[in-house]
This record gives sequence, C-alpha cells and structure tokens, in this order.
Amino acid sequence: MAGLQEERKEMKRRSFLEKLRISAAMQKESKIIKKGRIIKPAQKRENYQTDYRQKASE
Amino acid sequence: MNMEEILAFRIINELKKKGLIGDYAVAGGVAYIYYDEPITTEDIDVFCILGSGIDTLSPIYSYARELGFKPEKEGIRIGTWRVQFLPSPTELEEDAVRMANKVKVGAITTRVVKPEYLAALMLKAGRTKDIIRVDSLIEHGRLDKDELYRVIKKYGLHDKWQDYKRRGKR
Repeated sequence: MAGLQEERKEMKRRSFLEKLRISAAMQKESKIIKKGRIIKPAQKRENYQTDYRQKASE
Repeated sequence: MNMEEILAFRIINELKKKGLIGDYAVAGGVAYIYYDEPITTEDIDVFCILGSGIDTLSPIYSYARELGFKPEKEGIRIGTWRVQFLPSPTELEEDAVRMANKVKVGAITTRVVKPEYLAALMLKAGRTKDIIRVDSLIEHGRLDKDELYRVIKKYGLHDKWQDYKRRGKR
C-alpha cells in the first residue's frame, strides 16, 4: 500500500513529457502483443496443415 | 530530446498561428495522462474552435498533407502521435476549450482541458474506460469536486452523474 502511494507521488512529480514517453512505450508494447496474438493462431493453423500434408504424403 | 514526441504539439500550435484552428485544448487520454497516470494511447484528441470563416476540417488536412503528414484512421499521424481534431460540438466542449490550462510539453506550451471538464466530458461519453478514469481522477484527488458538481449542473449532466454513481455503487 505504502509502495503504491509512493508510486502515485512519483507519478505526480513526473513531467508531462516523461509520462507521454511511458504512454507511447506502453502503446508500442501492446501493439507487439496484439500482433503476436493475431499471428499465433494463423501460424498454428499453418503448422497443423503442414503436419497433415506431411503425414498424408508418407 | 526526441523531436518526434513533441512534433504534434508544435504543429497544433502552428495550425492556430495560421488561423486554421482557433482556440484549442487537448482532451481525452492525453489530458488524463497529464493529470494522472500514463495509459496506453496513441491519440491526441484536440477539441478546437475552427478558424473564422472555416467550417470544415479539410484545410487542416490539406496543410498537414503539405507538410508530409498523412491521415490515419480518424486523425493525422504526426510523429509519435495520431492527432484527432474535433470541432467543439456543444457548449461544454467550447467552455472546456476556453477554460483550458496552459501546460508545458518539453519546450512547447500547449493547452489541456481542466480536470473537472475532462471528468465531465468522460461522464458524457460514458464508456467503461471513461468511468474508470473519472474514478481515478476523483480517488487520486486530481480535481476539485465542488467545481465538478458545478460543471455537471451547468451542462445538464445530472443523469450521467447518477448513472456513474449507480454503476459503481458510489
């Protein structure tokens, strides 16, 4: 709790520009995560299809 | 200092100097960041009173294009940020622009709506994320509650305020 309060105080002290920098970095990170989530199922599907084709040709 | 980070704020001031927009104020997520904490956003919402004799946003887009900035979704990509210009639709937004605080972003001076107006605008929008942000502004003592009540009363947002209180059982 004390840690959280300290963090809030620190956040208040930070300049607008510093906070905007943090925000932009958070946005960048969330885009990467989102991208990963979108790509993963497609990659999975592709892997399954490759496995299936390999097994079928054996 | 990375110029990309503050370029949008410089261009907004340039638009005002050129008379393409009149008074303006930053609202939305970026205003919330100023008063409270960093959140995930890439949009700068700019409420603006359009320049005299200008009744559309197209001169803003033309000027931005001349400078090499491209439209993206509902805004214009300027450096790190996507800037959305929102002509003030009602008296609440107009007054929010008029009463805005002057704020420094690095070496640039910009204008940010006052926290009580920001909370009123978020109550008006009423999305879950807005309600969470209003909660945070109140909880962290970032606004003057009496002033917020005055703004709510003046702009007929009493129902929205009641909704807000009901939703959180406040």
